[in-house]
Amino acid sequence: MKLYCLSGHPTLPCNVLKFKSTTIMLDCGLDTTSVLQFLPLPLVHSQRLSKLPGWVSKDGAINLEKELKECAGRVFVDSQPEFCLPEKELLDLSTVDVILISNYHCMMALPYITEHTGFTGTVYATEPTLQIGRLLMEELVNFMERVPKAQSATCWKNKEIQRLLPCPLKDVQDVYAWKRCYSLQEVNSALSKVQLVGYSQKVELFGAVQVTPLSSGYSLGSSNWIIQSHYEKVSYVSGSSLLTTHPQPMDQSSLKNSDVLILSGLTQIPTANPDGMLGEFCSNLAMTIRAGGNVLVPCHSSGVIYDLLECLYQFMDSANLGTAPFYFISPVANSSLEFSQIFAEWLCQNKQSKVYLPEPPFPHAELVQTNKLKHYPSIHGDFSSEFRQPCVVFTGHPSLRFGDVVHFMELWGKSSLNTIIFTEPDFSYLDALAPYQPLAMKCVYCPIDTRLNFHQVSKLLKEVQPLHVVCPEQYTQPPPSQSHRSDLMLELQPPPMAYRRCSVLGLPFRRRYERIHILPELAKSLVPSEIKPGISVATVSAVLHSKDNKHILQPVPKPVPVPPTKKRKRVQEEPPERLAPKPLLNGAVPLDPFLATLHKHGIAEVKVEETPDGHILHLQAEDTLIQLEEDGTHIVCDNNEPLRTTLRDLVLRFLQKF
Amino acid sequence: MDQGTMDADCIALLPGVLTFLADPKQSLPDDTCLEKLLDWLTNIINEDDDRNLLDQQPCLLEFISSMCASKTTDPIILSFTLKLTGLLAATERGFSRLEERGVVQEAFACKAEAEGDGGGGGVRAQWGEASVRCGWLLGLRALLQHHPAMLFISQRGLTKLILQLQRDKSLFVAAAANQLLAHILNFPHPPMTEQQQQQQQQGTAQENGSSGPECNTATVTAEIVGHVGEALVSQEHFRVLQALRLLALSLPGCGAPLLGSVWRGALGPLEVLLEAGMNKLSLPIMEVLHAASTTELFSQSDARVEELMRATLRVGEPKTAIQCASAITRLQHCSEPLKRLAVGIVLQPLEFITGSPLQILPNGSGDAKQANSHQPALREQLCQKSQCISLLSLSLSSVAELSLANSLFVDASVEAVTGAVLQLLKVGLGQSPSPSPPNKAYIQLIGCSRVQRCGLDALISLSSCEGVRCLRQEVLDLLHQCLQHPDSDPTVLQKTLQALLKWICLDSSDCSEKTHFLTQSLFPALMKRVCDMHWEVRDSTLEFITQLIVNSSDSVAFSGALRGSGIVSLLLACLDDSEGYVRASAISALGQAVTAAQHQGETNTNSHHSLPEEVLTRLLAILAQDTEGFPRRAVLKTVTSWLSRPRPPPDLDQSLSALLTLGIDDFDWEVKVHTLELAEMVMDKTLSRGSLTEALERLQEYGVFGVLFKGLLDCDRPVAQKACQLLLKLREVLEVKGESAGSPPGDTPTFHLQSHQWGEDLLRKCKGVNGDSDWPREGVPAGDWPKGEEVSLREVVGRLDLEGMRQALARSSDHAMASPRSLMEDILAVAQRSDDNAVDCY
Repeated sequence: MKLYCLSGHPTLPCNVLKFKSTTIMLDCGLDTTSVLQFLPLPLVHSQRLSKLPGWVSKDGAINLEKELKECAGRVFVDSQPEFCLPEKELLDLSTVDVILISNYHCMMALPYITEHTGFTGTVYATEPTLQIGRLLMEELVNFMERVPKAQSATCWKNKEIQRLLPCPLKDVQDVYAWKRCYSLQEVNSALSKVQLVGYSQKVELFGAVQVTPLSSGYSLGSSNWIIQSHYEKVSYVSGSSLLTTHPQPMDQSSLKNSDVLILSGLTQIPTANPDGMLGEFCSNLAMTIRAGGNVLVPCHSSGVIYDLLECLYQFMDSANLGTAPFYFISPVANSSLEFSQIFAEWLCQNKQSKVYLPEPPFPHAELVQTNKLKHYPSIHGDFSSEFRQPCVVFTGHPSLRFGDVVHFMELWGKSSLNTIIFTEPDFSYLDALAPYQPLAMKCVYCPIDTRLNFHQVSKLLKEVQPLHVVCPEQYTQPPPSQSHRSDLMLELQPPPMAYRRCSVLGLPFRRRYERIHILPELAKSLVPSEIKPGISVATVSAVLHSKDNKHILQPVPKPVPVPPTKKRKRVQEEPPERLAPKPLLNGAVPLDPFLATLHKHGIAEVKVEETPDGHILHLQAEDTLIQLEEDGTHIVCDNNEPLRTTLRDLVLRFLQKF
Repeated sequence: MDQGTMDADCIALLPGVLTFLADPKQSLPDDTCLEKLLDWLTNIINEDDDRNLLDQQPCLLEFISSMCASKTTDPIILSFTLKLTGLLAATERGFSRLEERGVVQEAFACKAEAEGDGGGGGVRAQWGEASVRCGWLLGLRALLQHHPAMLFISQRGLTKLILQLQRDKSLFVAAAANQLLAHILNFPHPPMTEQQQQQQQQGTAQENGSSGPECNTATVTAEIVGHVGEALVSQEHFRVLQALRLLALSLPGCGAPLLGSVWRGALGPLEVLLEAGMNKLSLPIMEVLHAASTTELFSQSDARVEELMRATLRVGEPKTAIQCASAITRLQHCSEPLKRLAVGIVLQPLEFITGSPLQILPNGSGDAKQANSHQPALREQLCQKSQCISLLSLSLSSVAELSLANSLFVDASVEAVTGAVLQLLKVGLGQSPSPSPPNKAYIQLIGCSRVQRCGLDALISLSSCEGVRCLRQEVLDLLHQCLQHPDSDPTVLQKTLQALLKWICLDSSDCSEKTHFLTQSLFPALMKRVCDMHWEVRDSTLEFITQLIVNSSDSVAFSGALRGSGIVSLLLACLDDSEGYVRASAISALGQAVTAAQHQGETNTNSHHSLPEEVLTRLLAILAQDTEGFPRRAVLKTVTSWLSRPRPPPDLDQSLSALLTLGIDDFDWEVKVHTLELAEMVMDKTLSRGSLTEALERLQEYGVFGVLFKGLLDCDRPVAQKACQLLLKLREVLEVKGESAGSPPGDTPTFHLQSHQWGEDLLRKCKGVNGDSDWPREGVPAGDWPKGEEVSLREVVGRLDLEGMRQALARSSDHAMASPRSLMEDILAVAQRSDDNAVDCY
C-alpha cells in the first residue's frame, strides 16, 4: 500500500492511495495562494494599476518590465493569475481509477486532472459538493474571463532568472506547476465524470475495495471517506468540524478500528477560536457602521458566509445597525443562497426540522425578503443604481486579486472610516493587501475556520484509535510563529507519518488475509476434524477461480470421459490425476513419553540434547539422530530402513492426522 | 399600635396555639412556624426579664410537662418543647419554677438517669429521633446561663451524654453537642482556691463531696478536657475531628486557668498527629492553631503554637500545605520567619508555572529547604490540569489577600510577584512565558478563564501595593491585550476592566505616555467592546467608561483624548441598544462625558458644545418612551448628578419641569423615588439662592410641589416615604426661613386644590372617602379644608400630619403579615380549616 502526495498544502490536499490493485485519488485541491504574486485584475480601469513601473534588475541585466511590475514596494507578476496545480509527474495520473472528493473547496483542481492526463475513471462526491463546487468553479472562470488578459508571463519562471528576483518571488516554490485557470467547457466536462453518492452509501470498486462517504460536519455535503477491504480499513479524514454550524454533524464512530487514518484539513488558524472571531467580526462591523463607514468582507461565495449571515441576523437588532444594507456580490450569489436552502437532508438536525415548518432553514432568506440583504451578480447593472452607503459588502475573491472585491478596495481604501474584515483563513491578509498599500481603511483579521483544532483532533484520535496516522508535515511541529505552543501539533504514539509535496509513503501495514468463498457443494464434501476446541481443519482440493478481485473455490471438475477415437493416436493432455490428499499431521511430540516409548521398544541408550528449536535425540547404539523441532521432525538414519520405519511409526503415534 | 398591646394580644392566643400543638391529630401549617414562635418568645423573654411568662401563662408549664411525659409526642413538637423549656429556664427564676414542677428533670435529665430502666418519658421514647436529640442539646445550651444550671448538669451527670452525642451519627446533633461543650468550657469560671485547683487536678472534687458552684464547673470541665485528650489519640477519624473542632470552638473563649489546662491536654496529641502526617487532619489542626493564636497561648513559648503551625506546613499534600500557609499569612501577629515561610509556600505554584524566581526565602536556608520539601509532589500535581488550576487559584487568591494587607511582601518581592502574575496572564493569552519554565505544564493554562480571573483579582489588589508603579506600563499593556483578545470570557473582561481602572488611576498626572496609551490602545479597544455581541460586555465596558471619566475628570489631556476618540458618538448610539441595562449604562456614561466636557469647557472650545443639548433631548425621549425601568431610572440619576455639580448644563433648567412631571407619573416606583431625589436636589439648589419667595416661585414653576404631593399620595411606600421626608424638610424651611425673613404667613405659592388631580386626591384621602385604609389614620381631620378657595403651600403643609405619616410609613408594608399575631392566627386557622374539611368530606 502506498500513498503518493501530490500537494503540500495541508488543507487543500491531493493524495493518491494505491490499495489492493486500485488507485484512488483522495481530493483534488487547488492551491490558489500563488495568485498573491500577481497584480489585481481591476473591473474598472485603474489609473494607479495601469501606470506601475516595470521591473528591471538593479544592474539592468535582467529586464522583465513587461512581466513584472513594482507596486507599493513589492514586485508582482502582471498577467492573468495562475494557480499551483497538484504534482503531475509523480505518477501516471491516467492510472487513477477513482477520485474521492471530500468537500467543495477540495475539488477545485478537478478539471486539470480529469481533462489533460488521460484520466478515464469516476469521480465520487455528494450532491451539495458537486453543485456548490460547480458554482465556485464557474465563479472562478467568470472572474478570470470577465477581465481577460492576453499576456502570459513565463520568463520570470526561468530558474536562473527567478533566483535573481526580489523577495518574495525569489522564494516561490513549484512555479513550474503554476497554470492559468481552466475554461467553462473543461469544468463541465470534468463535472460530467462525477457520480453522486450519499452518506454511508457503500460503493464497490472492482470488487476489491469498498468506499463510503461519512458526514464530516464542515460544510454542506462535506465527507470523510472510509476505504476498506474485508480485512483492511483506511480512513481519510479531510476538512471536518465538531462545531454546531449548519451542516450535519460529523460521524466519528464509523472511523473506529482503522489500520491507517490519513488526516488532513485541520484548522489553518489553530489559535483563533471561531466563536471569538465571530464576536470580533460582529463588533468591528457594528463599530464601523455606527461611525458611518462601510464594511468590506472578502469571502468565498459559499460556506462560512451562511454562518456569518445567520450570526448577523441575530446580532443586527441588538447591535442597532440601523438601516445599513448588506450586499452579496458574486456571479453565483443567487444560486449560492438558493442552493443552501434546498439541501435539507445535508443540514444539521435543527435546520432539517425547519423544512417541515413554513420557514426556510437559513435566516438569510428572511434578510433577502426584507431587503436587508441584496444580492447581485456583479457591480455592474442593478447594483450601481441601488448602491447605498454606509453598507456591508460580501464579495470575492478573498485573495483580493480578482473579482468585484478589487473594485471596492480601490473605492474604499482611502477612507479610514471604512473597514475590511478578513474572515477566510486561506490567505495571509498582509500579503493580500500588499498591492493596495498605503491603505487608510481599517483592516481587521478575524479568520473563521471551523475545522478541527489540535485539541479536538487529539480527542478524536484517542477515541477512534487508528493503528497508524498519516498527516502533512505541518501538523507534526508547532506553527513557526508559535514555537512554544507544543499543544498546537499532533503528539501521538506511534508518531504520525508525515508527508510533504512529492512524498511517496509506504504505508506501514501488510495485507495478510484475503477472503475466499467456497461453493456449497464443495463445502459439503469437506470433513473437518477438530484439532483444538473450537478449531477444526479440513483439507480442500479445489479449483481457485479469481475474477473481479473475488475469489471462489469450486469443486474440481470431473474428468470428461474421452470418447474413443479412431483417429491417429496422439499425445493427449491428461487431466490432472485426482488423488486423495495425503493425511496431514499436526501436534507436538512430547519428549518424556516419547523416550518412554523408545525405551519400551528396546532403544534405551538415548542422549538428549537441547537446541534452540527443540531437542536432538542421539540413539547411540543405532547411530541414529531424531530431531524434534517445533515445525518438523527428522529422523537421520543411514541404511536402516526398518529402524527408520519403526521410529516413524513411533513418532506418528503422538501426532494427529486429518 | 404599641408593641406591648401587640404582645398582650398574642399572649392571649398562646393557650389556643399550645393546645393545637399538643393535639397529635393536627399538622403544622409550615415548617418554619415553630422557629418563628420560638423567636418571638425569645424576644419577649429577653425584652422583659422581670415579667415572668410562666406566671402569666400556666398553660406553658402544662404543655411542657405533658409533652415531655407523653411517649407519643411528635418528635418535632418534642424538640420544640425542649428548646422552649431551655428558653424559659434561661433565667434563674424561670429555672427554679420549672425545677419545682420537675419539668427540667423530665425534659433534660430523664434520659441520662433512666438509661436502661425502661421507665416513662417522651424524651427517652423518642431519643432515636435526631430532631429530639438536637432539641435536647439546644435546650440545654439555652438554659445554661447560670450556675444552678451548671449544677444541674453536673449533678445529673449529663456531661457523659453530651460527650456521647458529640459523636452522634447525625452531623447536626454532633455539631450542636460540640457547641454545647464549647459553651460549657467558656462558661464563666468562678475563681478557685488553691485547694480546689489541686482537687481538680487530682479529680477528687466529687469524691470529697464538695458541691460549690466552682467545683461543679471544674468537675464538668475536667471531664470534657479529659475526653478531648483521649479523643485526640483515638484511631477513629471522626472522633479526632470532633475533638479538634471542639478545641477550635472553645479556645478563643476559654478563661485563663482552664485555657492552660485544655492546651496542656491537647498539645501532646496534636504533636503526635502532626508527626504522623495525616493530610486529612492538617486543616482542622490549623483551625485549632488559628484559634489558639487569638489567645494568650500564642505568646507563651511553652505553648509552642508557632512550632505546630510550622509543622502543618511540612505534612500532607501540597494543596493542604498551601491552605495552611495561607491561613498563617492571615494571622494578625506572627513571627517574620514563619510568615516568610508561609508566603514562600503560598507562592510556589506561581513561581513554578511562570519560571520566575520570587526569592521570598533566602536560598539554602532551613526554611527554603522546608518549602522545597513539597516540590516533587507539587510539580507532579501542577502537570495535571485540574490540580494545576486549583493550586494556582489558591496561590493567586492568597496573593490578592496578601497584597491587600500591603506590608506582607518583603522588600522587592512585590515587584517580582506582580511580574509573575503578569507572566501567568500572558500564558493565559497563549504567549510564551519568559524565562521559559522548566516544563510545559503552563500550556494547559492557555485560555483558562478561572486562572485569568484569579490573576486579574491579584493584579487589582497588587495595584494598591507600594513599589509597583514601575510596572504600570507593562501591566496596562497586558490588560489591553486581555481586552483585545477575542476569546476572553465576559467575566474575564469585566475583571480586566476593573484592573485597568485601578492601574490607570495609579498615576493621576498627565503624561504623554498615558495619553498615548489612551488614544492608541485603550480607546479603540473600548470602542470595539462597546459594540460587542454580548450585552454583558457592552454593559461592563460602558460602566468602565463612566468610572474612567469620573476618575479622570480633572485631567485636561484625558478630556481632549476622549473628545477626539469618537467614543462619545458611540455612546450616543448605545442609547438605542436593545438591552435596557446597556442603555442605562450608556446614559450614565454620557452623563459623565457631559460633565467632563462642562468641566473642561472653560479651557477648550470643543466640538461637542452641543453635546449637553443633544444628550438632554435624548434623555427626555428615553424618560418618556423607554419600555424598561433601568434606562428611565438612569436618566433621573444622571440629571440629579448634573445638578449636584457647580456648573450644570445650561439648558437643563428649561427641561427640569418636563423631567419631574414625566418622572413622577412613571409606573416604576424606583423612577418615582429618583424623581423625588431630583426634586430634592432642585429644592436644595433653589432654596439656597435668593429670597424665599422667589425660590418658592421657581419651585412652583418647576412643578416641584405637585411632584411632592403626588409622591405623598403614591401607593408605593418608598415613594410616599421620600415625599413625606421632603415635605417635612420643606415645612421646616418654611418655618425657619419664613420667620427669619418675617414674611407674612400667606406669602407662599397658593394652589387651587380642586384643579389638580393630586389636590383632589389629597382632599379625598384626607376625608377618608372610600374608606381608604392605606392612608394613615393619623391624617388631617376631615372637612376643614377651605372649599373652592386657593390654599397656600404653608397651609397645606401645615395641615398635613406629616410626622404621623412618617411613622406610619416607616413600618414595613408586611408588618401585619410578619407579626407574631398573624403567625399564631395562621396556626389556629389550620385547626379551624381541618374541622371544616372534616365536614366537607361528608
